[in-house]
Amino acid sequence: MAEQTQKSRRSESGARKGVSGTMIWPKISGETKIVLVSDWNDRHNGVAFEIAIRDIFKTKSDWRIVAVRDAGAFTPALLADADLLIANRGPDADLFKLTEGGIVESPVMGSRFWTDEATRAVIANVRDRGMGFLALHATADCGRTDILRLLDIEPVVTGEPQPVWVRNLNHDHPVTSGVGKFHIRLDEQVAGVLRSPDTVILFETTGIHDKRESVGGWCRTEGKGRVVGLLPGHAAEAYEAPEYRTIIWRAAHWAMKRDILSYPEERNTLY
Amino acid sequence: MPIPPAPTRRTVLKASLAAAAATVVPTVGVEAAPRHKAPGETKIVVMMGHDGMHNDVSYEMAIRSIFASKKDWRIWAARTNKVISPELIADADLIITQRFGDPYEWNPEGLADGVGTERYTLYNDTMAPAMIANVRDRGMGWLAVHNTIWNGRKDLEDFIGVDAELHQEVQPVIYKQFNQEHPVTKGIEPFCVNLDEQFGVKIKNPGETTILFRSLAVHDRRDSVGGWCLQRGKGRVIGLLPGHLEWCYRVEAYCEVFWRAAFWAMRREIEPFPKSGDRDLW
Repeated sequence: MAEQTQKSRRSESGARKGVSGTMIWPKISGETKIVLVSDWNDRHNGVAFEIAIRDIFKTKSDWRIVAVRDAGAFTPALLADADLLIANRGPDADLFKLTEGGIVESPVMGSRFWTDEATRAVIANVRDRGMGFLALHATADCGRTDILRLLDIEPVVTGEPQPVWVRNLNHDHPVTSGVGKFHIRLDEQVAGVLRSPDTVILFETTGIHDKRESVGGWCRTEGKGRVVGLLPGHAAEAYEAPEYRTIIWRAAHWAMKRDILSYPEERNTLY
Repeated sequence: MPIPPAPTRRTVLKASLAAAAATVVPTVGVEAAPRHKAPGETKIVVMMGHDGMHNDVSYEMAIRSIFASKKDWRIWAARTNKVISPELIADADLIITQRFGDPYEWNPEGLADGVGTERYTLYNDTMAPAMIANVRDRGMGWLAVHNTIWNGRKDLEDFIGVDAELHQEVQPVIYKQFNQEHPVTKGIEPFCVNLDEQFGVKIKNPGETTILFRSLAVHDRRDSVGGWCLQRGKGRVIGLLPGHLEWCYRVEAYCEVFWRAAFWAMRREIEPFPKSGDRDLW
């Protein structure tokens, strides 16, 4: 038998079927429920992203992270009791439907995540219920005007994968206070322009090859909820930077209006 | 529960073969095996890694697109280790591997609240001999792509015919010096892949190995063999080192090399590479 090194908590929590028949994970009393959705296509490795996020929060044993690996399995009911949505999800459908089984002869195209229903659910849960929203990288390219409005950013442009400097960190904000400028070995430097001067900029980035400069991280409040936008994160290299892992750790706490605990692996590699 | 760190490829070769063997998990029958090959069809089994560094969804898409025009070629993509067994490849005409000796396992499912890792290596004491035997004794072809060389087994290295050298950073890589005498690479011009990991190899026995092309890493200037082929008993093996990211599959010339390599490994007459419009999957 295969040695199972990580037991799913599904059986412990009594995962149940939603109205549509799709499995959802009801939050257990006292736990923090985080829903994670990412691209899984020819450009974005959803496995790498999920591993990175789970690794950043590995010490938070009472934080349950439910990853949406197949957008077709998502239902708004999954968000109804979530404390935080972490999304690194662009406009495209999953390359394949991933629930076809272990071996596939004739693949089936997957689903889009940003449907009207999903978009409405995200906005309502943030604005009306106070769910936190941590929008990484591809989310800023999701193609949904209402989500971009929630994030307070104009449509973004990407560039070639290249080394990226993260600089001008906002030391007056708890998410980035004390974090030194740092370097990501390889990333798509997504560039965007914020819509409102009231949105708090957390840091800026520079593409080493094309010398483009852009806002890279920001945060704001929308209704009862908090939103953080972080543009780095195309590939695994971004999540290897201790400074960026620290920012993601703190951003998750901040978006959920929690006290920001020290990130156990917090360190500045350069400054 | 804290998630154990996934092993890196650098740790794989450090682990003893005995330890690797201890993690062997023949899981025949855990999931329903695919049906046997139908008369007249070509069965290709694709076994690729999916981990924090490798995106087998991307690889599967690329490979299916290259061969999309071959309607009688059945491509079975193993998306979990549970389906991999000697039976799976026992009637295969070709296997395509692109994974290192990583014991990591990914389970594709709709929603998941844990990583769900298992200890497993494709190149275990059950599968490695089966791969060798099917090539050598039955004439199955083997396309050993990219990190297959980092399998951690001397018997497989000997069979594939190369000593593996680890790549450096992801960087632009120039593929060049295509062998104009060999049908897989004849007429192919040099090209550059925007981003790739440049694995290197040393040919173990030049007398039995044909070099297909070389590679030059733009950052570190390493020059290495990038593709080779050899006969093994009744079968044929081709090694192709490009393929870490999706970029190489966006190069028409490389897709054509890949197309031809499959035909050659199966000892088929190489058909003209179809136009891009004939390779749409959907």
